[in-house]
Amino acid sequence: MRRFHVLLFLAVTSTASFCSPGGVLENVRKIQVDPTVIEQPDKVKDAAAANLVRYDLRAAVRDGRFEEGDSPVRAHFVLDEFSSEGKAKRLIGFGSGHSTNTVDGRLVIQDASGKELANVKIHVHGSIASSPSDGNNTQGRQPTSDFERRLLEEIERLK
Amino acid sequence: MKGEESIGQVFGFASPLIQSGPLPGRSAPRLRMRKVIIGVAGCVLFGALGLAAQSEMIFKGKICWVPGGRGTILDKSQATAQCSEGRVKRGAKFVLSNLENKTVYQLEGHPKPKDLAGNDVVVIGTLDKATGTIDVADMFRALPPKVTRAKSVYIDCDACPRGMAAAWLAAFEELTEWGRFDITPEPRKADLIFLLSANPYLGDYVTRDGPDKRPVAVDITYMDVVDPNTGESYWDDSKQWGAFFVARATKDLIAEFREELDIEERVPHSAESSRVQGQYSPAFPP
Repeated sequence: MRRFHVLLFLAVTSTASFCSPGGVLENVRKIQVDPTVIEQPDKVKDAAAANLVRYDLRAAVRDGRFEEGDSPVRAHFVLDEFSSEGKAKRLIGFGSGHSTNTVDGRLVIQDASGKELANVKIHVHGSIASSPSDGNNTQGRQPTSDFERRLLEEIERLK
Repeated sequence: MKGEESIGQVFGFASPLIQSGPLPGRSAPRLRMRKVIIGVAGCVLFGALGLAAQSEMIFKGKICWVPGGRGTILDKSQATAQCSEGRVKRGAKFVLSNLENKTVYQLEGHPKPKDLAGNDVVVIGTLDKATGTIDVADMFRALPPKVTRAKSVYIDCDACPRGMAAAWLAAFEELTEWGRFDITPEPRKADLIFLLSANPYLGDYVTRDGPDKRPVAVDITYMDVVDPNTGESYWDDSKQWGAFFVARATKDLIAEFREELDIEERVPHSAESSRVQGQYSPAFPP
């Protein structure tokens, strides 16, 4: 009886893994990146934050080998909180130029009707602007920031 | 009424500098006379300032040179025919030639017009109509139409270690505030590249294989506006503000580019415009 249960369990899990449908971005070629949504403006003081977040999302979409442009599949980021390190901490960096930010929010993927296909919570404490000094190809795009790398991971997971 | 009020205000500001209170023994008519004199002086001063601001104009054209020693006033047809863009001869005089407008003006007051010889330029200065001479206050290379038509830009920070790493974010913030361009993460789709670096640009953005391998001393912040297809630099400038002020230098460079683009767009190629308190309005509509 026990053997039967084990066999049954193995059969079910293997079937599920083989026959499970792909992520919401499977068979999607193009994604439209909409502007960042800020629900609580008092928690996002930086004026450039929304654009910076959208820029990273566009870059992550591109790095995920999707085209960016008019498409029924749309992505945007809901920015719940954005903060930068204080001036004192930046001074401790002795002009290293690198800055650390905390980003809290959700990556939202929607279809043409506005129905949510995915809603992934994201929290990043790290760089949000590109760190070009680590780059090795001037004609390609610069390497990703911590935030962009995290977005890319989630996009890859949704494929 | 307003004139009287302003005279009164001028007197109000100026009188404490002259005297702290009425002097004993001074009669009322004498004080009134003093008021009038100060008022008139104020009017003359502000009037002169206003005239000076109004007489500064913007000109567009090509810098070329004519042989020197031919007198101060140039005949237009003669100057355009002899206007040369090649190697500058000793004692040559630099002129601003605009074939569309059919104008030729001599240039004075600019320390290095030779550097811009043969280029289309924008000149801000005061025109002396009697001698056909522009006293140059500022002069810069005109931006090509590709720059004025550009919709998207890509920010590239090349050779940006240590303190230079602040340049990318500063450029992003400044361009976001400007709001004119779409900042794209795709360099191949961008109309222009904003190239920031601690080393001068060598014109090799398209042809270079790999990153800039020159040693970097973060002292000068360079900015070039580059054509992504040809690698040609349309605009360049630099600020030697050290490693701690890279962000500020970057923002300042973008602001400077913005100002030049703004001037460029307000004045059609064939027009000369008057400049009044930062507002440019065509003086001679094309």
